[in-house]
Amino acid sequence: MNRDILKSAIDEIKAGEEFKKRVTNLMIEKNNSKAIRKKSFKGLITAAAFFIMFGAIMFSKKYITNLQYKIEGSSIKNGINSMFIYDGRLFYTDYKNVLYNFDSASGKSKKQSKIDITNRVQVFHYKGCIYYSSGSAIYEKSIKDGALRKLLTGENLGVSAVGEDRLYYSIGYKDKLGGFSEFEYHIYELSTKKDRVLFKRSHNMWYIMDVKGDVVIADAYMPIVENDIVVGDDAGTYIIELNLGAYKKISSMRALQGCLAQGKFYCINNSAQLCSISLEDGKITQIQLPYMDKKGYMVDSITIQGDTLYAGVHFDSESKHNKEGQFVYDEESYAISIDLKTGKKSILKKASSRIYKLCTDGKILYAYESGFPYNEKGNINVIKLK
Amino acid sequence: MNESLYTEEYIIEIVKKYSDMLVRISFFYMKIRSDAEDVVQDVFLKLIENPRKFESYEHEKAWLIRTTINLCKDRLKLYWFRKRTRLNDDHSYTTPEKSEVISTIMELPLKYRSIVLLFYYEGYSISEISKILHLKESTVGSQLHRARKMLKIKLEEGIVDE
Repeated sequence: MNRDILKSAIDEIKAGEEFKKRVTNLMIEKNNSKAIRKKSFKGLITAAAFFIMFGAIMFSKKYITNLQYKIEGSSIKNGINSMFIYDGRLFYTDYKNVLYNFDSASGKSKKQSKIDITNRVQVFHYKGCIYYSSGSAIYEKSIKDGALRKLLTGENLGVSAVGEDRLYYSIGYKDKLGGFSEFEYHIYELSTKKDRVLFKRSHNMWYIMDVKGDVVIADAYMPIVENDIVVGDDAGTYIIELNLGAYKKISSMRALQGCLAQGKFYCINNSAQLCSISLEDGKITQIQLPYMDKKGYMVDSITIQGDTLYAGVHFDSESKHNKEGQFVYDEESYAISIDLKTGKKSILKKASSRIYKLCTDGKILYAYESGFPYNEKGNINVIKLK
Repeated sequence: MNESLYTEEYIIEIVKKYSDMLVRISFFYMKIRSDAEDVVQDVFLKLIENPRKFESYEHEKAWLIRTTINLCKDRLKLYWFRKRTRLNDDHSYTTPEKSEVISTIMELPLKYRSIVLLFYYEGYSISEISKILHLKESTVGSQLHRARKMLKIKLEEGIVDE
C-alpha cells in the first residue's frame, strides 16, 4: 500500500453530475431571492443594526470600566513564534527564525539576529538568555551581547521548557516509517551542567506548560499499546513533583497552554475554553468571560502576571450589512483581564484579528494579533496597564 | 471572491471546483453517499445564506473544508441520526479492490479520518491542517502518526514514509 494506491482509491469518490446540477440550481435560486429581499428590507436592516449596536454598547458597559490602555502598532511580516520581555523591552522571534527587539514608543521592530533553530519551533527565555535547539544541538544565547554557547549535542533534540535553573529537553526517536514515535525527556541543570533523565524512552509525549519551583505541570499523551496497536490512551494534565521524583494525573482534561498561579493551573482546554484545575483535588472550573455565550467562542491565548490573568478571546460575530448594503461576515477578538482575587473582568482592547500571543511585565501588555483572515502579517498592540 | 451576493458564474465555478473534494471529506464521516451529498449541499447553501469575504483561494478552500467537517460532526450527533437503522457502508463509489482501502480508512477513529485525507490526498502540510482544523501542530502530527500506524497494521504495509 502506498500513497498512489490510496489516492487512486479515494479518487473514485466524487460528486455525481446530477448532484452538481441540483446544488448549482439551488444556490442560484437562493442567491436571487436573497438579492430581492435585500432591497426590500434595507430600511429594516438599518434599524436592526442600530438596535444591535445599542445592545452591544450596553453589554460592553457592563465590563468596560476604567480603560487603562494606549494602543500602538507595528507591522509584523512573518508572524510571531515566541515573545518575552527582558530588561523592560519586548523581544520576539518570527517564523523565519529571526530574533527582533521591539520599541514600544515608536512601534518599530529591530532585527537582532538570525537563529539556527529547528523551523517553526519556539525559543525559551530565562534570565537574559534564550534557549533553543537546532535539532542536533541545544544552544544558550545571550540577548545582551549575542554570546553563543553550545550546551548539548545529539540527535532530534527539542527544548521543552526552561525555568528555575533547569532546561527540560526531549530526544525524539524515529520509527521505521520516519515519524517520531518514542521520546526520552531530560533535565539539564544550567549552573552545574548536570544532565539526568526525567522520563525514560517510551511512546509517552509530554508537553510542559509551566514550571514553578520543583513543580512542573504538563499535558501528556500516554498511549496504551497492545501488540503494537494503540488501543487507548491515558492522556490529560499531569503534575510532576521533582523533589519527590513522582508524577500524578490531576485531570483527564487536555490543555493547549496554561500557567500556574495560586495553587491552580489556569489553561485553555482542548475545546479552546478557559478553565482552572485545582492542584489539590483536580477540580475543574470553567472561567466565565465576557462574550462567552457567542457563537464560535474560543480562547486563543493566556498569560498570568501577579494576580491578573490576561486572555485573548475570539468569536464569530453575526453577518451584517456594510454601507453599500452588502452582507459581510465578520469575527471579533478582545484582550481581557481577570483579577484572580476579586474576579473583576475588564476588556482592554478590541482587536481587528485574533490575538495569538500575550506577554506582560505588569506595566505593559503586548498582544500579537495575526492578519485577517489568518495570515502571518500581523500587529503588536501595546496596551499600557495601570 | 469579494462580492457579498454572488454571480451565477461564481456559483457554477465554486460547485465545479470544490464539490468532489467536499463530498470526499463528507463521505469519510457519513459513510453513505446520499448523506455525504446532503451535507455538502448544506455547506454550499450556508455560503449563500451568509456570504463571506474570502481574501484568497486558500482561505475559501479552508473555510469550505472546516464547515463541511463541522456539519458532518453536527449531523452525526443528531439523535435521529444515531438512532436510525444503519445501512451497510456505501461503496458504490468505488471498485471492490479499492473498497478495502476505503473501508480501512473508515474504520479509523473519526478525528483521524479528515487528517489522513487532508494530508495524503489534498496534500496539506501539518501546519496548514492545524490551521484549518484549529488544532495544535503537535496534535495533528501525533494523530497522523497514530492513524498511519493503524492503517499500516490494518493493511499490513506502510502507507508512506513521511
